[in-house]
Amino acid sequence: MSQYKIIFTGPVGAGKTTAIQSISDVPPVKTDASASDMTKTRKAETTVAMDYGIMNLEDGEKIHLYGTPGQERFDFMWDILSVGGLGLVLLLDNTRANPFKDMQFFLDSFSDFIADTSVAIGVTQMDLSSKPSISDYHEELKKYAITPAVFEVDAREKKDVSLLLQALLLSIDPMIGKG
Amino acid sequence: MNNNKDVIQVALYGMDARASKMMAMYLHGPCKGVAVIADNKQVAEVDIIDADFLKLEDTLQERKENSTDRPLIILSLQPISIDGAIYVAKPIKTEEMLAAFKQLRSNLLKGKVKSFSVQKELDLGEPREELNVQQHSESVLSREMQSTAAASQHDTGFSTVDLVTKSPVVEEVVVHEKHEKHKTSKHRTAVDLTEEVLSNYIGNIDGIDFTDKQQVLQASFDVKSYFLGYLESAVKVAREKQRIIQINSHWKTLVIFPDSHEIWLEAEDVQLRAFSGILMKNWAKKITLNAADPNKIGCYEQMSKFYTTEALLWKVAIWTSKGRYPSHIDIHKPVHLTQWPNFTRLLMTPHALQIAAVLVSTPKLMLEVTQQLDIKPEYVFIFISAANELGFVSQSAQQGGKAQENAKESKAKGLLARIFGKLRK
Repeated sequence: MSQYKIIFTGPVGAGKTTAIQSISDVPPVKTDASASDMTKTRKAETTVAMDYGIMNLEDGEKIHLYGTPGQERFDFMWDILSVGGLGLVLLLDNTRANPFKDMQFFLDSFSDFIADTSVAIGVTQMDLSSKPSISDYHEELKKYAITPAVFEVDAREKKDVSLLLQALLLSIDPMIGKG
Repeated sequence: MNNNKDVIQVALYGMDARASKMMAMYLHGPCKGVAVIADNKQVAEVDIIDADFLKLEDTLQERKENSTDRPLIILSLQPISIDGAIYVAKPIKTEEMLAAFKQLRSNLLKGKVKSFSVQKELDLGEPREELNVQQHSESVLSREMQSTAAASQHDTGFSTVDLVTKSPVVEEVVVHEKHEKHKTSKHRTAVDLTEEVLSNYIGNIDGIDFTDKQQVLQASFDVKSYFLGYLESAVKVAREKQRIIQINSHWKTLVIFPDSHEIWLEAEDVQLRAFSGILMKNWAKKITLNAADPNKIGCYEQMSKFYTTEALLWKVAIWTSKGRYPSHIDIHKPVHLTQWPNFTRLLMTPHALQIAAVLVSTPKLMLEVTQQLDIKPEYVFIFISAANELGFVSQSAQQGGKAQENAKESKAKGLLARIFGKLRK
C-alpha cells in the first residue's frame, strides 16, 4: 500500500508540532527535546527529529502527517520525508526577525517538491505581530511566480489548520470539491 | 549576538515562552536601540522579572542560583519594593520603561548601580536607588503629527471631507502592536456558512429569480448606491492621506486605521447587516469624514471592536450583494482571482474555497464556474462581490481552459477528494 503524506515545514517555533496535533486522529508522536543551541532563545523545547500524526479516512486509508525538524542542521531529513508527499504546508512565525527570509529559505529548499505538488502557507503568531500582513506575503510571493493560499493560522485551532489543508488540496486539483 | 555597547543586554525571569516573546518584541519595538534580550543570560547587564507570573520568591531563587548580581527591574501589577530594584507598573507604559532603562544606563556608566543580592535585600535592607518614573516626561509615544490635509468632495458623494484636526498616526503602529492580542475579533477563526443557513444569514433580494437565466444575467447591484461604496471610498481616502479617519453617518461610529489595515466599529453584526442593505439615496449628504483621535473616541477601551479592513469590507460586501454581482463587473467576460483571500479570518460563504481555487488557477466566466462546480450562481456572485472589494478580482477578454486541465497530475485524485471530504466535516 502506498504511503500518502502531507508535510508540515517551517522554522523553529512556527507551530508545526501543534498543527499536527490539531488535525491528527491519533495522539501524535512528538520528538521535542530541550533546545541547546540558538533555538533556545525562541523555544524551550524544539523538534529534533520529526513529528508524526495520522488522519484516518473512512475507507481505512491513512494519511501520514510529518513535521520536519525546524532546525536547519536536520535538513538532510527533508528530502527523505517529502518522498511520496501529497503537498507541503509551510508555517511561518510572524514574530521572527525576518519571516520573508524564512519563506524564501523553505520555498527554495522544497522547490522541486512544490513544483510536483503544491504549497499552502500558514502565518502564525499574527496576534502578537500583525506585520508583515497577509497582503505583504502575497506581494513578496510575486517574486516566485506562484499564487499559493496564505492564511493567518492559529496552529491550536483545528479549523484554521483544516482550512489551510483544504486550500492545499484544492490548489493541487480545484475540482475535488465538486458536488 | 548584539554587539552594540549602547544597548542594554537584558535577561528575563518569571516569564513563559509567550511572555518572553512579547517582551522581546516590545524591546525590539518601542524600546528599540535601548535594550535587547541577551543571547545568553550570563552576559546580561540587567534582569527583568515579571513578579506576577510565578511566585516572586521562586524567581528570585532562580536568579540567586544563577549567581546573578545585576541590577533588577521588577514588573508587577502591584507596587513592590525591593532594595536596589526598579519597579515598573503593569501594564507597562513605554515612557516608564524607557525611564527605567535610562536610569540604569546612567548608573551603569557611573558605576552607581547597587549590587542587587537577594540575601542583602532580605536581611540588610540597604537603601535603594529611588526612581520616580512618573517624572520622566519624554515620551516616545507623545509625538503627534500635525495634519492639515483637507480633501475636496469625494466622488461618491461625501458632502464634506474635513481632515484638519490632529491625527496621531505616528502612534498607530506602536499602540496597535501593543494591543494586538486583545483584538479578538481580528484573530477569530472564520465562520463557515453552509447553504442551509446562508439565506437566513444574509437575506434575500426580492424580485430576482435565480433559476431564470435572463434574470441571473441582470442580477447586479451598484456598489456606490450602498454603504459599501462609502466605506470603500473612505478606506481609500484614509490610505491616500495616511490619516486615521472617522465616518460620520448619524449611525454608528466607524474609525479607519490605514497603517494597520484596521477598522474600529461600534455596531454589532446584526446592525451592520441591516445598514449594509439600505439604499443610501437619502443618506449621501449626511455622510462626512473627519480625522479622528481614537483615544478620545475610546477605541482602545473596546479592543474587541477592531476588525481587519479586509474582513469588514468582505462582510459588508456579502450583506450588500445578497446573491448579486457588482454591476461594474462584466458578466460576459472571464474573471480571475489574483490571490487567495485569507479565508481563516473571513466570513466563508458556501463553496468559497472551491470557487477561489478555480479562479486562481485560470480565468473563467462566472456562470461557467457555477456549471463546473455544479453550484447556484448566487454563491459565485457573492464570492465575487466580496473578493472584488479586496481588489482580488480582475477581468480580461481571454478565457482560460478548464480547471481540470490546469490541475497538476495527481497520482491520487480520488484520495485528495476523500481527504477534502473528511476535512469539510
